[in-house]
Amino acid sequence: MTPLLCSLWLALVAWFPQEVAAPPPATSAEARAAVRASWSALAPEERADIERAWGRWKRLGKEDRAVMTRRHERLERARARARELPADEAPRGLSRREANRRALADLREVWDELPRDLRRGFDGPPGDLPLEQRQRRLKLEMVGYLQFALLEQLRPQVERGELREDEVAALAHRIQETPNERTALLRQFIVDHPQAFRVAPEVIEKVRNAADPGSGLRLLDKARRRRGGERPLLPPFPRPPHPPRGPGNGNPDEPREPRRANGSA
Amino acid sequence: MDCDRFREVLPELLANELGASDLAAADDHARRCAECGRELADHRKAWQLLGVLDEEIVVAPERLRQMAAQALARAVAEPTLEAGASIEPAGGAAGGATVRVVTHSRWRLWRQVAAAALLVAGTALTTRVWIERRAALPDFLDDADFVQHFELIRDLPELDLEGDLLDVDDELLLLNAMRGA
Repeated sequence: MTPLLCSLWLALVAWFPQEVAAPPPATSAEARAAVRASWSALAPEERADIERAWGRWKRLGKEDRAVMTRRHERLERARARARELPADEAPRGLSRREANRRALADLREVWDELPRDLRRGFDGPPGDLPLEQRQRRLKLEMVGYLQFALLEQLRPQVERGELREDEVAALAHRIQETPNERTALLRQFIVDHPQAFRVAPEVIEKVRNAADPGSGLRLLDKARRRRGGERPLLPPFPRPPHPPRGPGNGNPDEPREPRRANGSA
Repeated sequence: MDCDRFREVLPELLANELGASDLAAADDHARRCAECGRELADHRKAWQLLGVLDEEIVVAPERLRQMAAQALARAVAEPTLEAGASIEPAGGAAGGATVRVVTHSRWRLWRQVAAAALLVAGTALTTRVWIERRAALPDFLDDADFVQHFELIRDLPELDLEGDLLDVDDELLLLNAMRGA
């Protein structure tokens, strides 16, 4: 009797629908050929790097892969911008690595000038949080600081009567509420108030006509650099600083250590 | 001289190479011993026969020309016997008088060597191509996940190291723009 019951139970288990992993997406022959061609053109060191990266990618979970995909989209946009610079600013045919470095240089410059209390909150030890949680927290902190910095930065213009307080408050509010439009909102605000921002009319025209809002805002920074004017420091964050997150969380004024390539956030 | 000594000197006696004293003693023993005398007589008959065979064999010139012509015709008609050729008896056990020459001609030998060389070279080439192909194109190049995310995987080290910057690139851009305004 017992063997019969065992057999029945096994048959039931085998028959019961199991959760089957989704099959990998099909890839076209052209895509495979393109990858093979790219691979053949790589140096041995690059191949070794990719092989390591492939090992890491396979270990990433679904959420971490989504984070990496978003980051990659942003990196590709930044790299495209770096490659579109005029020839006197960037040589033609930049290598991928160099294009990445240039693409991230401006971001790194601003990052390194963030208030120390804010950065201390970001610079947790690697492995402290899962990637997706870390990204969400970072975004939240930055948006909060952005709203605060906007009000602080425009306070002199409000005090001089060049900008209305309610307009600035509305801009800060909308920047927080509509994350996908904040770049366009700021560009429009600057274009609408050229006197308050001390921007020359020809620069304003370029900012207005730029292909995308981000490019327009970059034109402002470029114009400022040409003028040779000093960039005002970003205002210190008044919120209480985060406690140190553990040993190894050093002085935030020191250059930030690159995160380890194992990717644990 | 006794019988044993007589048999020892018998070959020299037949060849007329014995010294005078030994010759006299041997003759004396052959006359007195009937058995040794008979043996000496038999050997002398055999030596006489050998002497007949040693006489010069005279072949007529016409016969010599005929033999030479036949040999020349055979040489022209049949391949030259090369090194490595083998000679096998022909016609079974009874055909011992004639031989059949089995030739391995130069052309045939070279053909076999060339075939062997081709086989070795082909195997070596195929193995090399296979090894190089495996070394140059790892298996994961055909993995659908890899193909689909190849560009991302190439950038993965940067995405890890500079991920925070990329996560808040919009906010950093806005902060920078406000400072420049």
